[in-house]
Amino acid sequence: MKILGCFKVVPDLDLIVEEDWNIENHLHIDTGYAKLIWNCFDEGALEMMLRLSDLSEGLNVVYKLSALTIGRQKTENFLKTLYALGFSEGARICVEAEDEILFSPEMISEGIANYVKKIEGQDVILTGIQSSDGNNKMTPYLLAEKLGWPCITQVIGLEPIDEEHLKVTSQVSGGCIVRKVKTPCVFAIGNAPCSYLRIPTLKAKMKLGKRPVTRLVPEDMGMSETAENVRVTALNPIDKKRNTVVIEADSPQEKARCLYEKYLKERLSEL
Amino acid sequence: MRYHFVVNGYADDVLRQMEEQMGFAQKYLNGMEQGEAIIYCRSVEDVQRLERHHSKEAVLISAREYAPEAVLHGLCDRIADGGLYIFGNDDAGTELSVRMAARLSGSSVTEAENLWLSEESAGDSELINKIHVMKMVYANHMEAAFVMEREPYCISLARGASSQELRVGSFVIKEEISCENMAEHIVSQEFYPEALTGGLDKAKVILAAGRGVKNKENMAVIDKAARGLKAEVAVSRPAAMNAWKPMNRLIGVSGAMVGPEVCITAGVSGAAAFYAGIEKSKFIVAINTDEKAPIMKMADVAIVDDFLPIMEELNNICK
Repeated sequence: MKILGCFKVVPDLDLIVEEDWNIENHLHIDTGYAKLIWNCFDEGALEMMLRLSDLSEGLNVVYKLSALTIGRQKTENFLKTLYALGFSEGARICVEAEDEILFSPEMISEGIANYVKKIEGQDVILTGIQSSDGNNKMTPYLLAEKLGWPCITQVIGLEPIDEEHLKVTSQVSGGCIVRKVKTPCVFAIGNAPCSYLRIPTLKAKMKLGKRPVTRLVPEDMGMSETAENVRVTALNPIDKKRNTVVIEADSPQEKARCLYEKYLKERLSEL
Repeated sequence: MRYHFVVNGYADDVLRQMEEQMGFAQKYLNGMEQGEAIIYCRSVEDVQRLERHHSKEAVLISAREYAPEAVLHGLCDRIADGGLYIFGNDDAGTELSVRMAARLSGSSVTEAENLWLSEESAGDSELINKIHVMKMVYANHMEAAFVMEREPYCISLARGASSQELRVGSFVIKEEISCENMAEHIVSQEFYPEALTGGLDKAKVILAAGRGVKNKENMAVIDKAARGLKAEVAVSRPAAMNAWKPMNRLIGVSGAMVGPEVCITAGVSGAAAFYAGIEKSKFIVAINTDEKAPIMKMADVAIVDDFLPIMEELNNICK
């Protein structure tokens, strides 16, 4: 079974200095200086693929794991980590300007769909449910529509069954649903319980992590002619500050007592 | 232009979702004509049992089990013209709004906070209405305005929107479209109710732990203090990803959105995506060793110190 994990590498938004959020009349924020990290839902998706592969040992199912990202050259280090973890194919659709893909889920899903149609056919595609910067929450659904595949959302677990089926756990209101699903299918990965990606060994990095990444151009993936149906027109900063009182005292115990006596006791007694 | 509510009749919280749809319409859709609601549900009986409504008439799309492919089939068959379609704020609403717009060559925005109309010239002195929507982006650090280019306009609502009381009485059901057996990719399925979470959404006091708690052993100290304070324990995303608590204790844009009387955060940096989950709290306390952590400016009271002795002392006091 061929499984594609689509991931986005995003800036660590916690590292953006406050002044940069307060810029007006711009349609994107300069996050170029921030450390790059896996988008958390995509990271969960990639780890889920590796776990699925682990679980298939002893079963008569072979999973071929591939990964695709759309972004800058810097993201290739992330693909090389995936090679070291056992992914057999890594591809990047080369887009150097982050603002071109930030609010462009139509273009992103078109690129992924064309990769699957033209470059490497797949049985299953995993993507995180949303990215932390664009927050579009649309890519897996648009991708399913472009491929004419079904989609299952808020997936939190995958287990092997056979070459054409997977056991899929997804979160729904009031609980979770476990389904036997026939491929092909798109899975939108939600709050998976173990979502940190494992770390490859140095030996694996040396042996597997140096393989070249397949580079693709957006024009060949039909991304240039894709028009967005929704256009961003303004970005506004949000002021969340409260008038904070800082409790000062000589010891943490005194601070705790002050917190309780002055601010909590009455509030808690009223509940 | 008409607007229509699209309602998830399968959801346990269907009435709350309808209240939020109604609140949104009252705030932002004044003067716009309301059309029939579209309700996807198990059966007519489920809808009649609601005994509340926010539209006079409704069209039902029914199937015993919820499958987005089945609902989309019914939705896209039924919708002949443009207009604005307002979906609820759950995952089903988000998915269906995006996929319906894609199938009907319309446009969609998820988690909409706000909406307004503008008039733009379409040539020959003709004026056309444009729909603009505001939503949070950059993990809730910024809000962005979008203009929607094509009808039908499909939006799903952001969570935590203001709500409006529903009208007493039932929908007049105009039509029922049955969509059984349309999810051929599902071979079998079983529902497992979740173990009780203590209901973060209803908690009066919440003690939220973040990355600064450092390990699972320290979470035991948080648990103990929470028992003393009669608080529910919640966690930020880094703590949940480390499995210090199950994912159903996650607070933030992708977890629970809470509004307790008191929310105490320990070792939480205050990432915007987390803060969005607690910003409706009446009173916020932040405990962090880093006085420059963002949470320290977003709390009502802050303590710059290690959370461990503070928690232990709070527990002693509550004894």
